[in-house]
Amino acid sequence: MTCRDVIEQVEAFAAGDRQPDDAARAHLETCPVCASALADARRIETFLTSWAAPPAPARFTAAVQHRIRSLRWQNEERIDRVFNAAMVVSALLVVIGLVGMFNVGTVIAVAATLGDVVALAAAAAVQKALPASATYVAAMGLLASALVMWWWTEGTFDR
Amino acid sequence: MDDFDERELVARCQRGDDSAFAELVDRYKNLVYAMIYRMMTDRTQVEDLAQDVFLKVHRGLPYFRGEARLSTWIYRIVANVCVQARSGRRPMPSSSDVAEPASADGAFADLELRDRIEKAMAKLPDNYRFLIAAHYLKGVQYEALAESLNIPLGTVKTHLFRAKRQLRELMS
Repeated sequence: MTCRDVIEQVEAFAAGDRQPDDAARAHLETCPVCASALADARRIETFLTSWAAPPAPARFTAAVQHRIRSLRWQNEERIDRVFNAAMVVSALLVVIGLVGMFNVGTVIAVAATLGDVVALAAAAAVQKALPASATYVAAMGLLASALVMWWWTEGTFDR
Repeated sequence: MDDFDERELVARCQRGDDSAFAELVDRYKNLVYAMIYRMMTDRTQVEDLAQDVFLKVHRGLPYFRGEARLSTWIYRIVANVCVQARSGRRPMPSSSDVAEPASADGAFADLELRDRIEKAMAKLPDNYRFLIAAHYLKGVQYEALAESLNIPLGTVKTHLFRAKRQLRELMS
């Protein structure tokens, strides 16, 4: 029996799961390395078997319940905040609606002004872009022809 | 706890019965605490982590369908919580640096052995450390360990021997 064979089994010997046979026993009596490994394994086994861990503190369950309650409370608070914000926004919308109902003329005037502003801005943008339109059209044409060529070559080589 | 009691307890928890959850915590707290105590080098974290385990249990209970045992599921949470805590940790004081009463005989050799074993434990891969920490606790069954580590039941002992061999090699 070799050292390797014995070393493989020292944990099982130390745990009492396996008894060393005659060959292993003879090897352990003559090999200080394996004997030392078995002694170490036995010390570890003894330690692990009697390894004391303290019980959970007496107030442990109460502390867990307290943390759960505070998490629940934080969640509810978050929901409350979202609900309150939604209520404020709704109230504002209602107020704006009511004001609008009683001032239809003003609302129409404001909408018309806004429409004029948007139309003016759009016209200004078109006028600004108009001189360069030929360049844009040429660039788009070039891009389109490049794409068509790419598509054609891809089709040709795939076949 | 037999299967029926466990299912009943889980069902009560799922209905939002706070006293049932307190009962669940009472049943598992010492086991969870001891597992974490053995897995963590930094003993100051043990109570917080044990509480974290039960918070995760509380959060996950509505989705627990009873396909695995409750204990298996809790062990898995313990293992995950410890792995997360260790992966985000700074170098911790060794157990011998943390003030703690000496064992009854107070033998220096015992303390030294404990310190060496705990330091070697800290260097073991997570699954081996969990296996050693849990196996030597009363009430932890091979089946639950196998399920929580996702290994075949027949290989638990083999894994345990390998873990202890690695522990011995780390100590020498």
